[in-house]
Amino acid sequence: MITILSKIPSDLWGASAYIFSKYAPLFYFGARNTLIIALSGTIIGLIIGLGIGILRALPVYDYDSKLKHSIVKSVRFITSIYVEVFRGTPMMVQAVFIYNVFLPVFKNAKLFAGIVIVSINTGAYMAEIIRAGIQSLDKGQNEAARSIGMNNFQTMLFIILPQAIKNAFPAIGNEFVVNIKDTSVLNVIGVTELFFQSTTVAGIIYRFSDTFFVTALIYLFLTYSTTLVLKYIEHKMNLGGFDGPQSQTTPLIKAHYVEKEKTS
Amino acid sequence: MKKLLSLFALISIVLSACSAPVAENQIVVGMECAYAPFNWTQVEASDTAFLINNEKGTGYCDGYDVQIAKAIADELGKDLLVKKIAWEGLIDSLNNGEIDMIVAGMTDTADRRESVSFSTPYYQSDLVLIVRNDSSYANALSLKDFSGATVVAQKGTFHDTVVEQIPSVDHMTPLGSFALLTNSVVNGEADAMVSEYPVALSIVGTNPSLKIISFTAGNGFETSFEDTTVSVAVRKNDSELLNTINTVLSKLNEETRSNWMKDAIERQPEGE
Repeated sequence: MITILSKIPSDLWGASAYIFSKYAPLFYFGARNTLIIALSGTIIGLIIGLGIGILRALPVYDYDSKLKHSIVKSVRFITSIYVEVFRGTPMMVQAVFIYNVFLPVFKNAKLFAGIVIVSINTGAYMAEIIRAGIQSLDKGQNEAARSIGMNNFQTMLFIILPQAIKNAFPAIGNEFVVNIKDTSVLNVIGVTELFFQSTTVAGIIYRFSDTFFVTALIYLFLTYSTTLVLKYIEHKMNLGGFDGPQSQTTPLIKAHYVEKEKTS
Repeated sequence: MKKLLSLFALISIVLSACSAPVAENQIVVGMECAYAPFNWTQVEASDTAFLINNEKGTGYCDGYDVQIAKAIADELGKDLLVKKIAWEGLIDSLNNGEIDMIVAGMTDTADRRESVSFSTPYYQSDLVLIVRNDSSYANALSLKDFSGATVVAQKGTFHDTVVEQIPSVDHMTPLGSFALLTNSVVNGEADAMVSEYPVALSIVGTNPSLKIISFTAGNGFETSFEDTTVSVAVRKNDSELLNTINTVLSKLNEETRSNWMKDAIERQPEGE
């Protein structure tokens, strides 16, 4: 009879250290793909969200033509369908559905499939985040810009969006952290992200809790270090170095001047 | 909406034209790469292992199934590409053309035969139960001794159907992978799990708190020959490939098969 004697220690910490040192390349590859998908998904999602946020914020006035009224109405209707559908269904279900609809494209490009799915999903959340960011601004910002002769487009690009993005930055950063964790659902379509690679390791050694303890620590490391970086950027944005127009309604501007007085 | 759909269709056509074409001279096999010693993943390259998905970083796949797949590829004069696919996704991936065959320790069943074709068997093994050393079932000799035990098996396998043969069994909800099954026995959620003998060897190798309960003839699970064998699955209309596979398998006698399995058990990453 054949027997196999493994060198895996029996305690949780010992086993985890053994598993991590022996299977580090598999974990590393998974963590790398998780970060690639989460980062590109968040950035593309933000671009989608900005586009939709702008479309949804298009103003119409009573004196505008009927045509413009109906165009704006239908744009709002279509974008709200997108937002509601992708916020109202689990990303795991979206992954299975989108992957199978575009199978010829995604079959040999699973990382790409993962990025597309996370981007579309994040886009829906970002649209709401950007809308909230735009709505948080004082109406006077818009009026002031219009009164100095800026058109709708210029007002949006140079006055509204820079402030909206700045106000929404914590929520945008939060989406990135959420995405690092949520890419784990992509294992359902076989994207080689961190969760998928962990099931591989668990399948080699038939030790489930030890392997996923290592996985949990890696996820925690990824999310916590990301949070630190985001906090640093937020801090930099709030205290000087930001030359864009700033809303008078943002009390942080005071902190900016108080800080300047102190240093001078 | 129509425009949007046609735009999507256009994008997908353009993208599919760009995505890497599968080489003509290649046969793609699908397996879990997580079912040692039939198929497993390892970090290092070796003569017998294949780079998973042909993509650096996902590891190398080796095992008894890989050797069978290699023999088939050699007969066809094609290069072998191993794709790692979860158990539930194997048959779908075969039918949507992502892979050409499944060599994954899969048993030929009537249900599966509705959607795929199976070759002649390429391995036969006995069904065993795995229990904890300190469990009250550790000295069991027959299925009757497991009366009242909580028993678990892998979801969507015939292992899960034979559980009912144990008298007054507490049939636990099946789980997705063997790592999960092992986990539920180790932490006491289940008293025993169903496994094939070679797989059980790998499991108790990495989990010293577990032991194998094998049964002598008449005391174990009642199974037909088909139940305890595993076969290669191909698409239903792929009779040419099926014939080649059967030719290859007919050349592998009982001795070669058990030697290959013995080698696989000794080669697996947590061996030594």
